[in-house]
Amino acid sequence: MPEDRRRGSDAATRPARWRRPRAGGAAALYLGVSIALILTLLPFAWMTLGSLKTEAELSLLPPTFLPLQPTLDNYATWLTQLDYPLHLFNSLLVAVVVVAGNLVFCTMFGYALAKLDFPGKRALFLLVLGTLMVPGIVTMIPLFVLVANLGMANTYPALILPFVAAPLGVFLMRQYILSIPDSLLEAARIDGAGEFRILGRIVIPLCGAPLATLAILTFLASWNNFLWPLVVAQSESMYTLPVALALYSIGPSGIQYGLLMAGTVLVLAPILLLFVVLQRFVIRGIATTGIR
Amino acid sequence: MSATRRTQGWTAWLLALPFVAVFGVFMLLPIAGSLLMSFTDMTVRDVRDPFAVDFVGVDQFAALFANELFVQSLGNTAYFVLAGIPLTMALGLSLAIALDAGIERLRTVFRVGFFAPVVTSIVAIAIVWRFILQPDGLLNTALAFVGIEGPNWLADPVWAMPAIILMTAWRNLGLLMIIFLAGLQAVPPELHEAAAVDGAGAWTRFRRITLPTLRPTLLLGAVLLSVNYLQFFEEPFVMTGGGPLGSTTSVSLFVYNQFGFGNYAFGAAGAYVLFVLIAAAAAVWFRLLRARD
Amino acid sequence: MKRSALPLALVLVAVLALAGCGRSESADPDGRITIDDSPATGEISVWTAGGNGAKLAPFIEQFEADNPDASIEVTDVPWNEVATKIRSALAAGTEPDLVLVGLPDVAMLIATDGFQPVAHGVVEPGDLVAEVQQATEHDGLSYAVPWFVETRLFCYRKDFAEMAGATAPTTWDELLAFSDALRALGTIENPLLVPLGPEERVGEFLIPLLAQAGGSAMNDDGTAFTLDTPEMVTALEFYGELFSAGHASLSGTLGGNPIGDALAGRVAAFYVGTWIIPAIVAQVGAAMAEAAVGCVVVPAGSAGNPSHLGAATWAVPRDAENAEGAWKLVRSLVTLEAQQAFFDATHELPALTAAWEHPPLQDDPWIATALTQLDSVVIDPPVPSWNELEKTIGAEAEKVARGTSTPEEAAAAMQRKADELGVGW
Repeated sequence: MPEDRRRGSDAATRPARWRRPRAGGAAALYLGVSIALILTLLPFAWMTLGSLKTEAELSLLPPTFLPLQPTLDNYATWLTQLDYPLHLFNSLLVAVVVVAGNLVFCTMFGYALAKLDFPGKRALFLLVLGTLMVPGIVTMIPLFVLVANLGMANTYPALILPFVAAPLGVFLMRQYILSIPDSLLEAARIDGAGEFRILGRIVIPLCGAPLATLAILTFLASWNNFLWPLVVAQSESMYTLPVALALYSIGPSGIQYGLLMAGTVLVLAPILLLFVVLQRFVIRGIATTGIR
Repeated sequence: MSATRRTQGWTAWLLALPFVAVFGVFMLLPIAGSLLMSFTDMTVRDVRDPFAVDFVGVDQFAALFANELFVQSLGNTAYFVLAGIPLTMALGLSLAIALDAGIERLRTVFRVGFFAPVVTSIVAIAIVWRFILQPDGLLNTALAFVGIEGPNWLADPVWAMPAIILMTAWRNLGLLMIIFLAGLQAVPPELHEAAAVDGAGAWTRFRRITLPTLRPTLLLGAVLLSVNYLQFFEEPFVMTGGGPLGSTTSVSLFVYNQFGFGNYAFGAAGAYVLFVLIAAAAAVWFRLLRARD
Repeated sequence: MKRSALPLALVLVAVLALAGCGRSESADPDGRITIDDSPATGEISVWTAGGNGAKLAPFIEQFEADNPDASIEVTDVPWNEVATKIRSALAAGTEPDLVLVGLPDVAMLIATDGFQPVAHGVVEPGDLVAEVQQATEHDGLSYAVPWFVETRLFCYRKDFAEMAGATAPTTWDELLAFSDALRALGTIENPLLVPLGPEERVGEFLIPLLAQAGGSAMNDDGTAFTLDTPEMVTALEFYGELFSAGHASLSGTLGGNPIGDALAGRVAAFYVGTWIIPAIVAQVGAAMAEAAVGCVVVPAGSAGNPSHLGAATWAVPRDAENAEGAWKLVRSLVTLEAQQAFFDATHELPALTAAWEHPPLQDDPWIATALTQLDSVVIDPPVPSWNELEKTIGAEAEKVARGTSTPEEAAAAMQRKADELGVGW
């Protein structure tokens, strides 16, 4: 219902009116939550500081806080020797294609599930939803066998195809499209419009918010995906960022934490930046999936 | 069926086709394949000719439960879930209540800040925490300030898992916070006002009004976390390799290692056991937290 | 009909024959191809492990200069992942042309039937270190070419030892006393760096320990494991004591930085190969290295002081697209000049025995110690199941180290797993 949607959109922002704590109580609350926030963000700060320190400084005891002699060498190594740009490109390419695919497929299927009637609809939907509970390792082995026999191992399609039809996307789109008034669609049908035209001209333009949410959530999931890219990538040139980072971190003798921290910054920074800019969509999306 | 409904049916299937086709091949087929595989003796040598394997009934499952390390991994996974979920939910709920109760300014800052760890790559986070958990790393240095001598976290069979649980709670509390914040909005303010007028204290109000209204939200949070936590993999893979003494080997990591050894059917059986556990956990939560009406 | 069928049939036969001759290499009945002296062509994909990609780089450059039509792509993989990655690649059909394999993993790879025997013309097997060469053979064929060999020496901080009034240990008991003396200095908590747990190659430490106690991991004809023996119990007791008495840290060596740790004074002694020498010299200069670090042969148990002998070997998958190019690359790495140049750059011991006459090698005092140690070495069991068995051995040994199992129980558990896995051929 439209009211629910309205409430949902600023659900996370409007305070409950019945509780108005005293001034002192409010201050204590702010203090407590602020401390919690600092503790939560401390690892990120520590990681960034570590990335700017030299190896020698990192082995000092007790550990220093601010870098004594800040250096960008660690980043330089990632950008030149360790091929960060290539892995960044791989992650980006895969994520963009997966997002595009999901936006198209999930909207089409979501619309069909929400507004059209066809045999097997309910069973199909439950089946798709049920797979949300399937752990990644169940599909990992047979997927590998399948991909190997298709001659696709260690290729971009192998990284992309298994994720281009995500159950969560269908759920999101169906949920949202359900709330579009049937009268709108009926009117169009009476005017003689076919389903595809209805989808394209009426439904999709109304779906700005869920599409944005789906795009971001899918992008995040793809960017952070680790298990499958680890299994299917056979050569360094196909590693995505998390794979490159992980294999480097458990790799050759002697871990250099400065280098490693720079690597994590390079992996986390793009996502965190994206998140800060688009946080409204992400958080709203997460919040509304909870309210049925 | 009327003509329009029939056309609708065809159109619907057409719209569904791309999704269903890809989904069928890359999700349903492997799920079924995994189940079938777990009843055979397939190893890495059979990959090029997968249909030439022998059926061995439930032998792989029997072998699983006779395998010391697998049973240990079940215990580890249970430990992780049973300790991790309440911790994460408690932290998330506390923060949600705090924010809801009176934080009006800077609310966005807090929301974004607490949620940030949720969007990060587990691999990167695990590496950062490994850095922090070093014997003379940030955590132990901080503990030393208050006079506590911290253990060698990731190398200690007793403390490695708690360290990983702590890290996971840190990472996910933002997600629960957001979900609970949304749920708290559904609590009717009049109920609280009426109860306050009747003299009910904050804790009673919380127990009698807030919690029951939050039931569906609690259910959602519990199910989300269960699905996520039961299959934890990246943390031990990156931080401990499953040790020390196998104390952080999860079921997922066990299966991955079997895959590495080439014991495909054995691994598939383990994966299916995990699937069953997840489905069971979801069922349990639904039973426990379903709204009574 | 009949008249026109004959020419068509001939054409068909000719086409089929030509198609069969599509590959430029033709293998002999054993599956060995022959390489000639023409330059290599095409792309050659190479997998190295453990940072050896960097050591390989100058030789790759030279090879590409000598073979302008060849281009080489190198991927570096963590040592722990090599076995998994290769098995997966073989299964998926995405194997590279050339793989660097540690000696303990060679047997396992041969058993996958995914690798081809060494080509004719690469190197004379008799020119290579005998024990290592033997370990690459199965059923009379060699499947990998040793590139460099390594043995472990006992290297320690000479300056700390002097301060503590300790001399380099020559027996197990002296090792414990050495460690105690260093701990008495008060600055080092766990002086020895010893591998611990299933993810660290504990076999490389424990098998020599077993040999030092007079035991052997396999029976004489290599058909079965002999792990549940009094000698293994002795070895495990000593291994356990190293940790329980605090001589070695329970963090093991994973994620460790032996050079960094040694130079920072966090450890005072470790078992390591000669490759560490240029690494230390690079960090602190030759003079300082000389003053601070010393290497001797490993301390002896009751039956002598055999140390670990390992090697890095090159292997070519059966279905490699450019096997010819790969073997030519390997050949270029085992010439006398290349082996000597490799030693100069890395201080790894050459696999080619003739290269040992190289003056810089002979004159280097630290290498002299290694050459002495090479008189008494033992390799990891060269069988396919070793890869998986070593993990159980590491896990059981860890239990002894942490006190949750006794040496007798651990040895029995190791034997049970060994019997379950079998040798693997």
